[in-house]
Amino acid sequence: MIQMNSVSFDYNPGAPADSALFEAFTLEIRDSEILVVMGPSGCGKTTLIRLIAGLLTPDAGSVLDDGAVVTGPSKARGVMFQGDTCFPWLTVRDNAGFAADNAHGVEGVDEVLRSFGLYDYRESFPRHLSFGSRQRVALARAIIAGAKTLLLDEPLNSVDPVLRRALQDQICSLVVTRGYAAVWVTHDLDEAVRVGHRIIVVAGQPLTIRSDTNVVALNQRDSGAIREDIKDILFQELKRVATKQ
Amino acid sequence: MFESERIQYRAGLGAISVVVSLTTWAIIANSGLVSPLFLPSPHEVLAELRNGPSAHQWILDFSFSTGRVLAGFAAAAAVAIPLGLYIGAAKTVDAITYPLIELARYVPVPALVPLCILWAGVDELAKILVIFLGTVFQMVVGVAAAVRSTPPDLIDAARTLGRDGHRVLWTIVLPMNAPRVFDLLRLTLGWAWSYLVVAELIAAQSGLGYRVLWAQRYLQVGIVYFALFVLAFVGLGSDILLRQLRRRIFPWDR
Repeated sequence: MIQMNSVSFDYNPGAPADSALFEAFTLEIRDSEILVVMGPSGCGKTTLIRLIAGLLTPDAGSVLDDGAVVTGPSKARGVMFQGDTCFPWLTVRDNAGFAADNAHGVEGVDEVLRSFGLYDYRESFPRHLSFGSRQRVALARAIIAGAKTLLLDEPLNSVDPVLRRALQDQICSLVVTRGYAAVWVTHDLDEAVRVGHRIIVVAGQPLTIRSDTNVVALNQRDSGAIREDIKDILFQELKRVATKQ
Repeated sequence: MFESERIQYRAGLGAISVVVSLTTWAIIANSGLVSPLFLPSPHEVLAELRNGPSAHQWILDFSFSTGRVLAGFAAAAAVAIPLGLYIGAAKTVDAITYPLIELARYVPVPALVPLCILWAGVDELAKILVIFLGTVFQMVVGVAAAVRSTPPDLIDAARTLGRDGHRVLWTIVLPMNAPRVFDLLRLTLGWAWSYLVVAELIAAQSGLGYRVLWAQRYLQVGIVYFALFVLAFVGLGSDILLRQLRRRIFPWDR
């Protein structure tokens, strides 16, 4: 479980509280839950991901990962970025096993590559793969490294629809079967409704939660009509937030 | 077009341009429009060569020059790569070294020859020092620029995978930028050959640069031309070799 307790943060530490990026921001992400974060560009969604990842340190407040204060990046919190983060000089297998512990070994890495449909490309360099496949390698790498929380910063933006859906399903399945917590930033309403257990719409500055929709509680995610209703509500909320900015 | 055909096509065009240039040279030199003192014809160059230094002497000149270039160049690379890495990655190191490197970079190397003699005498060390000083600052600036262009997400990804500090620098930033650093070394190797002539002004008794100066002193223009051809072809040869090497070392960056 990830908790953000009264987190304040700004890239310019001297900024007044009312114009800071984060001011006493509180959020909780439970295990086996995908929290989708939506909001206008530049409101602080990526900063939110980086704070949870430990790539940024709050000016005040704390981020907790299973009760332990996050003091820096950790293999336990895997990040999928918007851009390509495969190491181009390593093969797919070496990328995937980049942070593997000894327990995994080559066989362990290969097993994960098989389950991700990447085994046939294990000796290829990332440049031979599509962007979607490279994102899949990045996901496999985080899983092999031992991530228990997945932080996804619009990772599927430039992925073709077929692979995009496959990756969405794969991540959802990982979260549910392995009990991971996930924070998924996206601008895509279809994606949000498809993958999210909970969807928050945020606005800045400072970052505030404008709406918090528990999609699972509606228990009707498979109903097309309800999905469209949720999308419509989210769209109206996003429109209100964008107008205010 | 296949890769091998493309390479053959490029090599063919390159060979044609060399043959056309040599033919043009021969035509102009034999036309009588230009005095042989300024532009001897190819057969005059060969004739002067027969009466000039022996083949053994040319080999010695080539060996000494190559040794000096490689020693100065390797020393410069050994200093510039780690220094450039840290300058590119750490703002504090950059702030401390920036004025010093930029100042040093703009000092013309020939102006440093008297100091090189003062510091290192007139032996091999002084010549190597000239080549070192001529290339090291350019290399540092180039390596630092390459390091600064590393995608920040790549570094962050490595940090979330358990790498930090120096390990990120040496296991992520350096391999990521290795092809760029290699290209930079390839370019500065050309500069090293240029500074060789400056270096061999210092009380040299051998070397291709020395041979040019020696031939100038005795007005053996044909020898000057031949030595320049050797320097040019050594440069071209090393460039082709390094290009091939790059393809083998960095198959992931084509």
